[in-house]
Amino acid sequence: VSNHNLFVIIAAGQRCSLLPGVAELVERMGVEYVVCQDVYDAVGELATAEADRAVVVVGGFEELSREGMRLFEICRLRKQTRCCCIFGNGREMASGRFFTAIRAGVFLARGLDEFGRMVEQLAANEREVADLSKMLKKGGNGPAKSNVSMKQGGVLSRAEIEALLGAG
Amino acid sequence: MQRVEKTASAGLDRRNWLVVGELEAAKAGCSKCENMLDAIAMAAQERFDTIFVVMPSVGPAAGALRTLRRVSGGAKIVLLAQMHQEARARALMRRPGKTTNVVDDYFIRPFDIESFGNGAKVAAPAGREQPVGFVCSDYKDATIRELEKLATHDDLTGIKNRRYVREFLRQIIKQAGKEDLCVTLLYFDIDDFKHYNDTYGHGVGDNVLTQAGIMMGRCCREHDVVGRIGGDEFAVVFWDRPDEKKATAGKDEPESERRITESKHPREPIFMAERFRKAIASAKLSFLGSGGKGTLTISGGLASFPEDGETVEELFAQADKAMLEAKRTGKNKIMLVGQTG
Repeated sequence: VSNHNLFVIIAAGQRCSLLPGVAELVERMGVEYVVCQDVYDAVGELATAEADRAVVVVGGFEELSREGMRLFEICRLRKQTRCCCIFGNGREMASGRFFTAIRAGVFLARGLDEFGRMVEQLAANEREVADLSKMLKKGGNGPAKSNVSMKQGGVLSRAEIEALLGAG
Repeated sequence: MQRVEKTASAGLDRRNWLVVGELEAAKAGCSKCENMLDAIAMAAQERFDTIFVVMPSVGPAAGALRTLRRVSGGAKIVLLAQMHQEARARALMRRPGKTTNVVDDYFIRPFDIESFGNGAKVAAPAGREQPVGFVCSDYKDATIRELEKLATHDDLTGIKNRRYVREFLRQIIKQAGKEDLCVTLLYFDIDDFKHYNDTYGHGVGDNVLTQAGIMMGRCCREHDVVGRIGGDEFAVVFWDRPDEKKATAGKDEPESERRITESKHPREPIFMAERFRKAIASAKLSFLGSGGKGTLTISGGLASFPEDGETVEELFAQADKAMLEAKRTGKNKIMLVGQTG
């Protein structure tokens, strides 16, 4: 399966323990990805990515939350962009910064499995949007508006936040 | 992203300038953002001619500047550093073994952005009694650069002058108060300097002073400041950079071990001062001639902030007192404040 409209930016240096697992996972899913040394490099990639492309920025919370968590806000303001922090364990989640991240729409994944499910869902959405676009171009009678598009700005709903907090 | 509205301003066109960080003088006309992440995002979206990056106490990382360089499409990147950040700014400008610089230029703050570009003259920094130098700019003409050098360097020895050393010490003390830095002042002079002048002439005396400055520079770290205060008196400001201190804190050795217990002086300045004293005493100086002493000796005093003094004047006074004690007790030695015999 090829997921050409989805692009994953992995913000992790070569020595980061997350890197091999995340890179292998997205490669297996047929998603294009790039490995960045740090959060600055990641923002550089994000800023130069095609505007209509769905992007996921993924990394550890410490790296992604540098510079007062500005990355989260930059992701929130860009269309079709999701930021995802992967936690090795739940301990960091107790901090106040964790709640700020949630409010900014960051997806918090406890491990690679959760991250993989999120990417899979986004990829499925993108495929459906692409199919609808093709259908509309051919003059079909598809719906004027897709009901499967990604949520604007990638912000979590209250129900999602509550579900996450409850699970934590 | 937080930014000021772009407006046309008289004179220079500042509409294509981006200022990153807090700069008091960034007035109307410039785009502005608070941190490097916003700067990278903005620079990738629109074209800027020049990007000014105000250096924070820690960072910006070379990686962040490299990314800014990559996405900004040829914009000139100029660092605005404080005096104690000059060595780091210089290193970012001239990276050893690299063909491209991370930044194009740097200025020492306070920096008047109004004076930048198109050969405009550098205005005297506001709120300071004496302007202290600015360096290395392709944008300023040679005359301005020469004037800056004259204002900050000692004409005879080529090292920093009294004005620069005192201003640097004032700024680094202020910084040390905020960031818990170690700052130590070494004040020294040449033993029996009059003898060299009287025996060999003033030309040789000048040579002695120049050699002392050069050798002291070799015995300390790049970011330490070596200056000639006047006559045969020199001063060195030793200090721990914020990033170095943070990087080593709690890693290799506890703070208690980094200081000599009874003196409260950091170990490194004592080591470097002693190394210099021994180096100059053992150097064979041909210009002193076969009939001369052949060697030079120095006496000096060390005073640390805040234990020995909390102001420039107090530190100089205490270091001077220690130096006089070194002279009184036989010369060719470095003494700490409060140390006797």
